[in-house]
Amino acid sequence: MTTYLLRRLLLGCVTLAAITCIVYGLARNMPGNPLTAQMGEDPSRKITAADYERMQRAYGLDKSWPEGYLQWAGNLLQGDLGRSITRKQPVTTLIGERIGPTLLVSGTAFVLIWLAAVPLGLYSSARSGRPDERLTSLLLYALYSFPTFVAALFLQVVFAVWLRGTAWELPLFGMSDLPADAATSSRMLDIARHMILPVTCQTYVSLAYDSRFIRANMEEAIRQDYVRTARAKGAGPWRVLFRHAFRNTLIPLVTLLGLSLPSLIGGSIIIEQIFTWPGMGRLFFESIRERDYPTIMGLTLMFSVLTLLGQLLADVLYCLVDPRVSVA
Amino acid sequence: MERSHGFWGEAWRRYRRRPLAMAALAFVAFLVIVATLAPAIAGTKPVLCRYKGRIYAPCLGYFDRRLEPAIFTKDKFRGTYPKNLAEKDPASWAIWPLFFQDPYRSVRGDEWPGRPENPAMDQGRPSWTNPFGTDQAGVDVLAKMVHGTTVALLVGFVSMGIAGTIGIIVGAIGGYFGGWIDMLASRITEIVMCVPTLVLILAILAIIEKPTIWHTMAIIGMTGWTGIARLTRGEFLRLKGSEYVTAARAAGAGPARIILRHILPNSLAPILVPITFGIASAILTESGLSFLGFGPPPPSASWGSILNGARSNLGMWWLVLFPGTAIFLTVLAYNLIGEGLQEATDPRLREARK
Amino acid sequence: MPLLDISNLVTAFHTPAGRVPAVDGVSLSIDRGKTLGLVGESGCGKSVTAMSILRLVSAPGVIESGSILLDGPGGPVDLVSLPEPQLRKVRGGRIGMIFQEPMTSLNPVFTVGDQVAEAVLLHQGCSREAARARALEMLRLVRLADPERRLDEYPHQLSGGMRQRVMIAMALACEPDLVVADEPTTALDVTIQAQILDLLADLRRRLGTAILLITHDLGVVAETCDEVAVMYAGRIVERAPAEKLFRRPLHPYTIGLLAARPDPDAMATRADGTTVRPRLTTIPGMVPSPQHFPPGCRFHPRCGYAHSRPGPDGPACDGGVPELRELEPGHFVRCHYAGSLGEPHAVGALST
Repeated sequence: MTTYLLRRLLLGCVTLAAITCIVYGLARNMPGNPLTAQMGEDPSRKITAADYERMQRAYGLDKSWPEGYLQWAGNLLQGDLGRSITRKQPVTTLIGERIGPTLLVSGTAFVLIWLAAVPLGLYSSARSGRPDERLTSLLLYALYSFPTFVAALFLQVVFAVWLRGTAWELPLFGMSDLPADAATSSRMLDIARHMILPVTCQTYVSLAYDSRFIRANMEEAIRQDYVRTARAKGAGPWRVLFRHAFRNTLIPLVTLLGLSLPSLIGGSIIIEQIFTWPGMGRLFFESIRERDYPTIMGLTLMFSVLTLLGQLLADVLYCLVDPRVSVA
Repeated sequence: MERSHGFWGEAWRRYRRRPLAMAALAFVAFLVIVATLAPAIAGTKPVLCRYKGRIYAPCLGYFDRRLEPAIFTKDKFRGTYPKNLAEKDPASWAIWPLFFQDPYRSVRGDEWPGRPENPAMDQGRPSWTNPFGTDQAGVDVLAKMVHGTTVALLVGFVSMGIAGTIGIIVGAIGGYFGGWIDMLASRITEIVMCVPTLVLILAILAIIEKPTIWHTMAIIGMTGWTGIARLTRGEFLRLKGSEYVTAARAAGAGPARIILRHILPNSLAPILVPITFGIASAILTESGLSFLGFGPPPPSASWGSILNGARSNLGMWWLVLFPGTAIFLTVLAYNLIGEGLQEATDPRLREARK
Repeated sequence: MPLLDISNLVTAFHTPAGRVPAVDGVSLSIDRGKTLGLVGESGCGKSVTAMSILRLVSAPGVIESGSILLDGPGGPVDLVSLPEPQLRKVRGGRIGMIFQEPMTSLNPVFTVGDQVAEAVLLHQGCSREAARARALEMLRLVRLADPERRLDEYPHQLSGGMRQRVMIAMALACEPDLVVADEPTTALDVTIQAQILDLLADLRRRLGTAILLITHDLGVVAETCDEVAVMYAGRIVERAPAEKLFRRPLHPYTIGLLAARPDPDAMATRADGTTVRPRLTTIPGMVPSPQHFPPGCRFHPRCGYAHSRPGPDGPACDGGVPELRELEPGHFVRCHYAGSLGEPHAVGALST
């Protein structure tokens, strides 16, 4: 196992190096740089040519992009992710600020999804073919095909515009309307109200997909010979479902869990953008617009590490759950 | 003994038995018709007209500016056909599109005799003149959606064509040759997979100075092939050990022949499934990009761009309802087709048909 | 009163292509402690018969009519109409089942010990330790080498023969009255086959279990069975005590099957006096597809004794369906002309 992990880690580093290099190259080659982006936003901040050159040098923008990349990589190996050019904070601080809100939404969504998807999937496979199951299946399918941004807009129209002034109204944007020094309990309540729409949007798609995934795998498991053996032994339908079929479905399920790690922490760019939720996805989007290279690189690194870790997790979990498979 | 219909014949017969899948196919066929005939369905340019003794088809200008007959530019029509045709050549006639609205601009007052100017902003709710309403600039939504169908379908097919080609090539080569070639192919796949797609697309779009819809399609295709590559690789790994492959090698066939003629046709069925799902995903991505403001510049006719208008004008619910439903139905249709395809071609599911 | 009495069982599959009667009016009975062999070619319906006993037929198959009576202390019960909770008590408790594919019939994620113990736990409310001890006992009974170690191993770590022994252990764990063995040795090597058959015979002697052995191998049947039933195209065509059947088969199909056995000692003499091994005899034609069963006697297109026209001895063979008649005590045959077949003629006179 240890040799396997080491090998994966090593390969992962190679992949990371390639990814970060490519993204850095792309980012630097985008037209403009942080200074021009800032000037573009606020034309009153004119900078003289001399100042511009000075700032360029200060931020290392006068170097070519391969040099810049090596410098960044060198700093990284010393544990320094750099400072954001536009926000003038260490990248780690920025990430630290934004990761909380993202986890709040995606964590809640994650828990809700799995709490609901497993029973739904089991229910669907148990009552397969009956009219109530077909209806549920159709509804889930429709949900799965419903685009998130359309749903988000739709929910916004309903809950923030049509229901304005009623008790059902939900806030449109942001994480909280109260000032930072307001009472904790009312702040929490306010954040919770702001969370409802983003969480809903993030939950429903995965819910539909995961429950259908479970159902498909359960149907496959139920058709296997060992289920027939269990029934011949006298096992009842629930025992067959939970103990025999579901235990086998767990195998592909854990791989799915592992692979959902990156989006859990990375957050959804689109949803955070629509709801102006101050999370990682939004930070990513903004840093691209601002050409804030250190932040872009920090986030890319994090996201890629998470993706690779997620895959590793999926593979390791697979070995643990399936006795037929040893690490290979 | 009944004649066997061959693999695809059998698959089609099984596919036919699922009403939802057939309905989805019918819907996509309907979309294709709308997309091909878009200029004849909605537009302010005549489908066919006779002007100064010759017959022209100005509506083709909607597909490409260069297809619009030059004479109308020379005669300073400036896109307004009804009045100009009547004034400049009394002997002219024209066959108009079904629905006189333009997807790229608002219709001015009295452009079409007796029709008022298109309302804008909050006044643009659905009405008889504008069944789907108008957007903030007064452009008719129905016309935009009809022409947006062309964009949507093109995006789906072109992106997935590119993604499918790249994915199959990478996966096939990696799966068949194994060894360090496989390692390289897998690393490349992993790299493209790890970079957040939206970021990649945004970055490339920013680098290209003037992105057109074709650039967007190409980029979506070039970033969306990883799933197909992994699946192809898996299939090739599995089928590489088949006896017919060994037989082909014993007969002296080279790798290209084996890959193209023996393994690929056998693995095509499961690979077509994610390609079909990918079409839905590509349409979603393009709508998403337009929605975020990164689509082709206005006044483009993408469904996502209509939704973009709704973001700052949440009171104009018709800007959400109609394009949103269209995107939803299209994605639903492609998902249904993909699933129908999967069930029709998966041999394991064959026995359990009730 | 026989232990298991199947009468006129009809199990059909409702496929999109039509109704397929895989079991079309089958009647069998097994006495306590006896072994009945059910033979036939692939596709004749013998496996479906076995599955029907415990109502394990997979969709779209349905038991349409007939009765399966299981005798017991409280009187006979009809397994076809028995409510599900009680049927579950019968499954594994009073009737055990062994399947053909040991590779896939064991759950890959549970240990062997777990799965055998489960058979015990489902029927006897004992503790987990007691169930585990019983599982160990069963593994010893089926002569599995190193049973303590095997208890905690997974199916994929065992060979085919070992897995089949585990299946037998599971089926016998609750000391059932009857064991239904669906081609238990088909998927195994010949040497292992012999061991498994030995084991089954031994267990039968020791535990007094009745066995319904389903196979297409006549050799297996000859060795182990008290009584034999021959199945063709969904129907029983002959049923007799084993010795009688092999010594003097009465149905043309059985005659053909037995004649098809290669005889290593057979020698034929040619016209010029040289000896030569004779050609192997076969039954011409193919087993009919369930969608196109021939009318009347289902075997008649391939039968060398078929009568194309009704005569003084009996009807035309493509006319009425022959009944299963008891020609000699305990010997049943489904043929219009059994017992007085005459000389075989060329097949094909009545081919469909």
